[in-house]
Amino acid sequence: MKAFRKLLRANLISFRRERATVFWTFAFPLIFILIFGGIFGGDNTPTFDVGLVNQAQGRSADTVVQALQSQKALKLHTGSRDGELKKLKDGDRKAVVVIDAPSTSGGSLAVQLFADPSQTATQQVLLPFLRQAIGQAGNEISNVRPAIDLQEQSIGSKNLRTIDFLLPGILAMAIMQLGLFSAIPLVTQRETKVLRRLGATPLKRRTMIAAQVTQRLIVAVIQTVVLIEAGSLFFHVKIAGNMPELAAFVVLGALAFVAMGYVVASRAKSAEAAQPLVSVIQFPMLFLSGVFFPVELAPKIIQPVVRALPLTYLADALRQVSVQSTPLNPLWVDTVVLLGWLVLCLALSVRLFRWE
Amino acid sequence: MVTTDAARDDARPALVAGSLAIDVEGLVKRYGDKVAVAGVSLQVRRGEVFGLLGPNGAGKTTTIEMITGLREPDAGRISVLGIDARRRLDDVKQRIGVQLQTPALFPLLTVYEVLDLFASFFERADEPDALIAALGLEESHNKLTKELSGGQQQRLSVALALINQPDLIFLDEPTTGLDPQARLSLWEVIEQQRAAGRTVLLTTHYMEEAERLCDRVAIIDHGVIQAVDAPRELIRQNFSETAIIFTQPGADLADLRGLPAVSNVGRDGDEVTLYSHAVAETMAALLAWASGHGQPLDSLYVRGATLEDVFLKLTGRRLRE
Repeated sequence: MKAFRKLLRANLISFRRERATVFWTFAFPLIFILIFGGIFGGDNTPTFDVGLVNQAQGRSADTVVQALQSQKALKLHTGSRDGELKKLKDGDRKAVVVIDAPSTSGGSLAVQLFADPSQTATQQVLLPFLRQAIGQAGNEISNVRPAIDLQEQSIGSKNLRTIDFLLPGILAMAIMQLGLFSAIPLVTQRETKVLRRLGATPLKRRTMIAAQVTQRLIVAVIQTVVLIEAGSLFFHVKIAGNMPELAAFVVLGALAFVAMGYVVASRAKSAEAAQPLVSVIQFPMLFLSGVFFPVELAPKIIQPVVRALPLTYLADALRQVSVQSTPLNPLWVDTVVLLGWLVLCLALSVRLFRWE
Repeated sequence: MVTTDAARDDARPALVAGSLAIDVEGLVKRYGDKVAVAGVSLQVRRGEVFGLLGPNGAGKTTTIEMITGLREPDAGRISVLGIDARRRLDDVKQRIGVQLQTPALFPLLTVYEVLDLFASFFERADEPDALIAALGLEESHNKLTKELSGGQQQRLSVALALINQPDLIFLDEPTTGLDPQARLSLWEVIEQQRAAGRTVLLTTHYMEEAERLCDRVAIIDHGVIQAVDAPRELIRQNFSETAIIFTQPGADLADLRGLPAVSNVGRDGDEVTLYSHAVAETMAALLAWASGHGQPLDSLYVRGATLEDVFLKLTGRRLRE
């Protein structure tokens, strides 16, 4: 236990002293968040064609219309209910807002939001935007009682901006990279015969591996905190899920990818040889696991690949528990798939790993 | 620290089973068709400094690796400190210290941190600071190991071999790359280990080191032990002559061979070596011959045979190639 503690400390100290690694471990995902957050969360929002059907009269309805008109990101088209809904179906509208008079006098204005659920990206960017605009209009009308009764059609309860969608994905990406690269130091130690020297001491190999894996887990948790803090600070991403659940998935994901890293490193002759192998594995995952865009958008033909990659499940699980996105899979499926990868990679690395 | 031969003899225990630090029999290791170690048997007594000498590829590293449990032998029995090393390797590892030719261990830890880390691997361990002082690493105490010079690196690896207060210490070319000063101080460290009753098995490329430090040496070649004895004994058994060496361009070797008590004559460039079994007789005749013929005897010196000569005779190779 003492050896484990000292070794863990030594690994953490060594990691901290490797400035370049520390920088990239934290900066790389942060840069992604800033770039994507800047594109999708900033002022450069593309304009969306939105149908507006005003079936109510009066000041309240006008306030809503004005609120929508003041949004530069929206290109409003006024028309009839049936006409605009048809255009939504045809793809000419991204969403349609229908304002109805209150059913009872003095009641709240009924606003309906229609959108095509298959347009995931639109839903994730546009709907929250509309919702916010309408909500503000409601507050203007009256801040005492709810002035607007907002109903959404074909839309779940999600309240997700692009950055909300991206942040957990980038967290998953960071965990994957941390894990995949975690066996590189071991390859270096094998190459420089440090493993050999340690082999002449009573230190157990399992203690050594346990210390290295624990070090990675600690870094993964720190990374999670940094990314979540950054998301909250710069883009007001609110983590709605419960922290123990999030931590559990961070750890499970990190373990699965660390194990995968050990498989890659098991036969690599040198750190230089292991690195390209890691890249070959990580790049397809980066683009096929829904880190940067929803997996539904991937072509049908590669859906089976998408469905096999562990990163798909980690990203999905982290999204569900952190920002309560619409599940791609039930959480238990994510858990089982990640566990499956963990066990598979563990078995493979135990079989394949060469200490000499 | 000077140790007389008499003191060494007193300190050397009798050859009985319990007093052996290493008892190896019929050790064999093959790599494919190549036999690296072809039946090595070796007894190292407790409390002695034992030298394992051999040219590169002779099998000495493989032998040490098998004794320290780093390599599984194909055949043979290994007993270390009275423990069956093939069955109870963990017990052996607690009590041995190993220094290997490994450049940088944990490059991003300081000297103190690496020693402290290694101390945690053992049930019994020394204070890192005590070893830092013993090996003259005080100035490198807080230096990262990757920033150490070759000599400091080497001393750290010896310190690591001593961290668990081992009863038996393996040193693989411990003074390679050290300056003369550092080498001398490391010799003192090794002699202190012997004085503390510990056993040392070392390999070296320096004959002078083996002659000075080792109570006994084994010469290993082609995976087999060729000879084992005290350095002086080995020399005495293999050479009865003394070498008389001088420089003389165009010397007449036939004349020199005819001098009394000369058994052999060798020439290397202008340097002439006479092997004599009666130095006084040969010298007197040589001086008379030189002044009679007006021949110079530049850089004249006399030396006894060395371990290097023995090594050359037994293996046909120089130790340092």
